[in-house]
Amino acid sequence: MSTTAIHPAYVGRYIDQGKIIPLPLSDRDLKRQEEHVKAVLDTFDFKKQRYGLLISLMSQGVTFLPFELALMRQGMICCNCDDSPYEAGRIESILRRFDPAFTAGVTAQVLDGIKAAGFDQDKLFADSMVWAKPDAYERLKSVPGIRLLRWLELGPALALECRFHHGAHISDREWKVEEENGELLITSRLDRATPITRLKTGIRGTVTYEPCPCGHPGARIIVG
Amino acid sequence: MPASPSPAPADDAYLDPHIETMPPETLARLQEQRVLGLIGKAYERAPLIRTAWDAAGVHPSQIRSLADYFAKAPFIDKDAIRRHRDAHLDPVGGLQICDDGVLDRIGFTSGTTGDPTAVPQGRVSPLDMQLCRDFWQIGARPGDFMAEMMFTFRGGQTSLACFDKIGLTPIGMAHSPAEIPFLVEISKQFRPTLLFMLSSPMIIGLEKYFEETGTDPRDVFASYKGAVFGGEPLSPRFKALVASWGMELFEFTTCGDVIGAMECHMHDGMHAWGDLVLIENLDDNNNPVPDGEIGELVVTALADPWAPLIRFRTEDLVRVERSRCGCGRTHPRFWPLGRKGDETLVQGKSVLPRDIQRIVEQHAETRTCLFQIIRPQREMEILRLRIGYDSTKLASTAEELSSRLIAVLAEGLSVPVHVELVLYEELLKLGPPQKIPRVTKQ
Repeated sequence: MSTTAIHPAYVGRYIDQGKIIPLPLSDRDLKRQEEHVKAVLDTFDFKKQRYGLLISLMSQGVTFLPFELALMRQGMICCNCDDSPYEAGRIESILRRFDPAFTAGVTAQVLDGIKAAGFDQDKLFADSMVWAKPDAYERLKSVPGIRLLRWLELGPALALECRFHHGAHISDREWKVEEENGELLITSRLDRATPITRLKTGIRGTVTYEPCPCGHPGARIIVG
Repeated sequence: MPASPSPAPADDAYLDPHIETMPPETLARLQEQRVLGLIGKAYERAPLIRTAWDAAGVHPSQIRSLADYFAKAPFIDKDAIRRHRDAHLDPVGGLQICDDGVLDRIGFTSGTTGDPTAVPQGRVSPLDMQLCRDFWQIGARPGDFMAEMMFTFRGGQTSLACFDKIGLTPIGMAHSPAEIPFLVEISKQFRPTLLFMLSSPMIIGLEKYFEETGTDPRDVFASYKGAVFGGEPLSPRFKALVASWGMELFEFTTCGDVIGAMECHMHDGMHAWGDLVLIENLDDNNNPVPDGEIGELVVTALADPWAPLIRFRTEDLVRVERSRCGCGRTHPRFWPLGRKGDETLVQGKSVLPRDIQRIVEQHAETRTCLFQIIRPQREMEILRLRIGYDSTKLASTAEELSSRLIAVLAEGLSVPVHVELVLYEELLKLGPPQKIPRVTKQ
């Protein structure tokens, strides 16, 4: 991997086989990710001025910063919590007071914190929409009335399920996705500040190019 | 990847020189214009402000000068915001003055002293403006990298993006001791000039990391022109420890959640940017406290078109100084002394956490300075403390340590003391990660 002469706008990170790798990103990298997220958000019927609850850490800006920017472009308002077991009180408070249109980035440790703080995840997330990370996805399936969607991070690439819940959309203009022994590998295709080559993502699944009911013809990740 | 060279000419000390060195009388005129421009809109649009002003029998038309404002404008506090929020199911507590469609994000207070309250913001907040100015004075310049270890609840990931306004590239990290190996790695790779921010638990984690790995902290931090410290008062030991790593620390605090306030290189108080916030220092009877004496910090937001706090009682005990700082800046400075609610009266004598901090950190076993005042009510006959200790550093026994601490605390504070020792790792679990609650009922 080499780094080009593009001066980065932001330095985030990705995980390569368990190791944390710093990842410089250019404005163009971020902008294209934002466009991709915006296309997924457009499949929903979110009203302007609705709130969205984002659960992340400052170390996760590679995916969450473009998500936030796309959300603001939609005219929505971002509420944020740390991805931490200590944030249960704040999460409960935001869900109750702001009635967000969705919660994004729910993880297993957040669910652990919610339980430890004495809250019931079934009540907190009942009848709501949640983009969950893989370690929380199965645990949320039984929540009454939940609209559960996948939030997948393939290294620095963000794949999101749209409202039709038919696999997670990934930008195939930005990324080439390959399957190797059931695991997905990604390679960057455009002028990224830090090119990525055949990164093993740790995500097991397949890629489909069948048109999604939302109307997007591009690649989607089917987990499993 | 080295940072781009960024020579800073000597006359480049200020990001906004005409504002930062504005004559006090000009600053006062600017503040008056901003206050007068704000209060009418706030009265018309913010239900909490209207309620408070109506209850006080004051109308904005009666306010024609700063003197009028100081004499007549009613106060609000966090409890009033929470009451309004809960009574009216208004998540932003009756403070919003902007049109719908203008808000981009909701920040939140830390919640250390209770239920977090909302801080509505646009894409760039007054806090961001303050940070850019203060980062510049520390020495960060366009093309530089900055290591950012913060929380998302203050304003989300986009709070990072604001630093491109002064050409900085943030390296995003969680505010957690678990991030220390990554901090070390990126410090060597990108050679940032600024670290925002350190807290007591982070310094404890760094000390442990350097001791266990043998890594040279001076090499790690060689490129830094400064690190910001916040979360609670900086203890003398931590200040000296970080200085021994070759790093200059700049204390940071919030200015009533309107903006932050930070030290400059003179380390002579925290600059409260007067174009962004109007500060007052008042006694319990709402009278101004002379400069240099202790009072409560009261703030009015001057550059917040979304949900400005107007004459907000912060419950922070401070000293204020309005003379020109040695750095050349003319805006007021203040010294935070502690939360009004953290002040404990032991047999009538005032004790603040920082009084205890200086004594507890002197002992090897309790150098992490993690402690809590156990206080069912504000007035106590005996000071009850829960203190975290490191069992690997015990000079003798836990009983001996307890006796030693009781003796030095009683002598240093001139009050009777009871100490309950617990392993410091247990106290750290009380989180959030940037600080533990210093005062607890049990």
